[in-house]
Amino acid sequence: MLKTVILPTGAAVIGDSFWRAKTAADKLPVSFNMNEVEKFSTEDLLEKLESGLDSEEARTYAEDGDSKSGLAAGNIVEGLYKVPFLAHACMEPMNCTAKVTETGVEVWMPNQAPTLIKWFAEKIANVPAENVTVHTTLLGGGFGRRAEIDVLVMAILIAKEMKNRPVKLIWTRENDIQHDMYRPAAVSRFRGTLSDLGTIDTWVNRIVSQSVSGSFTARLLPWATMDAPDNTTSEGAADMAYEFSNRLVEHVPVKLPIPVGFWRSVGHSYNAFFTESFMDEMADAAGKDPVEFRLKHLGNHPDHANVLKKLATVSSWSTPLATGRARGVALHESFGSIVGQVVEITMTGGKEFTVDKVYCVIDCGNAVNPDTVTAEMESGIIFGLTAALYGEINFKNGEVVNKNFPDYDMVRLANTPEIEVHLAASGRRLGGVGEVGTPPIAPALTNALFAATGTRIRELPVAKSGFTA
Amino acid sequence: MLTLEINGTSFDVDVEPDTPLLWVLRDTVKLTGTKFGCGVAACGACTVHVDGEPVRSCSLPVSAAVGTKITTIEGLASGKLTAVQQAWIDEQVPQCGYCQSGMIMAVTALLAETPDPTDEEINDSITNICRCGTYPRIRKAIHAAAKLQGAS
Repeated sequence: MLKTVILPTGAAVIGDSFWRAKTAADKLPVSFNMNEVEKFSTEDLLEKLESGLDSEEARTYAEDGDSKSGLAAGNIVEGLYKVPFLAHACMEPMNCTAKVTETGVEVWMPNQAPTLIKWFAEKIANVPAENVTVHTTLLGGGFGRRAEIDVLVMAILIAKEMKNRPVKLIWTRENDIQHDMYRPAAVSRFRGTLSDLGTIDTWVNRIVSQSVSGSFTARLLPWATMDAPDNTTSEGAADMAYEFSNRLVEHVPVKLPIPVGFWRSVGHSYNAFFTESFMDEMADAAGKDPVEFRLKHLGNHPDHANVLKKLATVSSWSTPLATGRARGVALHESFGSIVGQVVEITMTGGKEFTVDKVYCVIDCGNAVNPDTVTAEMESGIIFGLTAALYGEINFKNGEVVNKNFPDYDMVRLANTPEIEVHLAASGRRLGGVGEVGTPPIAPALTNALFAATGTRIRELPVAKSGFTA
Repeated sequence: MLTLEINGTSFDVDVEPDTPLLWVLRDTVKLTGTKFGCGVAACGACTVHVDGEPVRSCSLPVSAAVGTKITTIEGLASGKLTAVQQAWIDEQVPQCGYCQSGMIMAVTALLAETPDPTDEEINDSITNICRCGTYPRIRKAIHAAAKLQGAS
């Protein structure tokens, strides 16, 4: 062992190999002052979120027509949805190598934010900007986690204690799962009414969650932190293409002691599940086919309608499936791209099912490299499927309960569905592809489970409702 | 001092006998193609061959590997790419790439034992985690590699 370093948030051991350092770190007689830790659990956090549903502090992100009169005039359909905190769990556990000298700092780090990394390296090492070198290496998965600076700060503080020698900080998987900047938990309440024509007249949606931008800014720029509106909280809910006479979309920001961050598709990751589930509830209330029902609300949005129509064609939507099989649909625009997905499932006994096939249609404007677009759709679908089936970070006594892959499970080859991707590039403005495959998969799956069983799943992961794949 | 045979070469390593083989490969022998993913044999990123068998090296004490033939991703190809490696390129499997050396080692071992595996055999055997979700292409590449291997 070369050295033990006490950090503001923990202790580190420097050794000549990872295993020796880790073995020594495990033996350190470290105790944390838990008196200062709020002893919250998942239930406490969810309770706080739900209390926000009736808060007076809501921010309005979309408003058309007169929702109050709209609700008063019709039969109200209501739905309350919930999603949990999620970890990024990049395959490459968090790491950073830093070398601090008397006059400069050099950093080797897989990261998604080289400018931020350079800036913080300068501040933490306290050296002139021109003496900072950042090597942005290949990255074993990012998904938003690698835009954070926590590991960089630790690596430099440790390297300062071992000047003129590069020090490589490696986190264990347990460190990674238990000290993430999580996708925030969120709750979302809908109230809707139908017109005499069987279309949505009034759509009122209130989302409650922490603000990712607020949490990120508080970590990185504490002096600049303010309670500003955060469009990421309502993205995918406030900017939906569907046309309603009356619409009100609000968000209530809640402060919780959990650091939250950007997780593949950010607010869309939960708002797509919320909105596309409730669209399905409204279709059911109207007694209409889910695809036909959605198309009725896209009269002025031909690109969205085209994606949905193509999806219905390639998935043979109107052809009935065998007994025990069912399909669900979801359509969602994010990062400038429109993605529709149909999921086919088979109920294999009780609440057990298999996800057999996913049809995916994407309009990203122009597909510069079609195979990359296809690969990103496959990737985003499987990432979102993992979250929909199992993803759930829980807290007890102020600590994260989950530790490693055995209790934060992932989809694997055996339960990966067949995925058929169709590109429908319309020539509209170029959109993203890295995140946009993720949002629709959860609602397409739970809508399929509703079609199969009549059970409306309003909380993720589906395992919470006893469904297993 | 322990002696290991890795990719046909003998190495003397000065490590504690309970050190996982993974960290001896990476930190001592400097073969960094084998990756650390979980440390509990749950993800397979650290898969290497020990006497031809796929092993999750994060959970194998190095002492248990003494006297065996260890193969890592670096030792797989001799001169030209193996059928599995070629299929991986043909099917454009990797995204971030981090899990792929473990995947390729696991698949190589599968095909050595089962030259033309069914989908069920693939499901049972390849349980490695890929966070980028390259599984559909992994399945295609396994079938393609089986064909390439059969043809050669």
